[in-house]
Amino acid sequence: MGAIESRVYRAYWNDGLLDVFAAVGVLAIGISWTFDVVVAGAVTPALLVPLWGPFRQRFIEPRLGTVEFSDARERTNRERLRLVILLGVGAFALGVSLYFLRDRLALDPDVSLIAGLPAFLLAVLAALTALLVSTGRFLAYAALLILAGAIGATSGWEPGLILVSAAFPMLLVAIAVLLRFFRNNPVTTEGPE
Amino acid sequence: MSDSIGIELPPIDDLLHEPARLRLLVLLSVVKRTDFTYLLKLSGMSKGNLSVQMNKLGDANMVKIDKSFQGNRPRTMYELTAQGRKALREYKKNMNAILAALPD
Repeated sequence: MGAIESRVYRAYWNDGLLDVFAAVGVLAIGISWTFDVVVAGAVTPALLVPLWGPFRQRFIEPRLGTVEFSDARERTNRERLRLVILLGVGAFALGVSLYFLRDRLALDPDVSLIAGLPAFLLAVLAALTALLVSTGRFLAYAALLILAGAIGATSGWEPGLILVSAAFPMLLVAIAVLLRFFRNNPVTTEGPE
Repeated sequence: MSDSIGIELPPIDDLLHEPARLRLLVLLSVVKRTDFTYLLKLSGMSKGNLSVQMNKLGDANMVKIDKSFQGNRPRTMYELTAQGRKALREYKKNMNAILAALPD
């Protein structure tokens, strides 16, 4: 796809709402893990997905408008989305397995990085999201999750705390991006100026 | 009375050969369809100019215009027609031919 199409596509995802959703998702998973209600963390993405459309329609579209992309772009996106979902399900399954096996795994010093595994898996997801929405910030979030996973795991933190420690800077960046978008893009109505 | 030498250049469509309209058509050519606000943001044009240029393109059947309401907000969607796509292809071909004749 051409350079102009890529720029048009990138502009669609540069408002920060997806960043906020991602950060809230990571934070919710981290908090629920910390408080031993890991299932609540799993439910969070399912709660966030249906909110996406109404939130975008309410807060972004009056400022940015709306666009339907070409069939070629839609096809590429569907393929990439399938990969993201597959990895997301894999990350969830691994996370839940890790949760139930945590006591047994903690006995083995050779697998100390295992506590960082949920963060590493979410980093893969963030990197794939960067590919899906052509937004470099998600690569930065991926790097942040890997860093938090490595530091947290070698420092003996619980997986939940590792995720929370990565989610807070993510959320701060996401809110800053969203506020900048709101500031630079007031609600626009059609008709005379 | 002077004789014309008669060198003919490929025809250039005046409707397309205007920077604002050309920009809008190029933007519309890379998406399926888009609304007024998104086009406004992408083009950086004023509302008035955008509206005037889109109406001209609509009148020439280059662009399909759909007016509707989303809640109580008016929403106008634009889509490049087959005729508009063909005209854009022709314009590109002709401009390429003209530019290729230019000395370096």
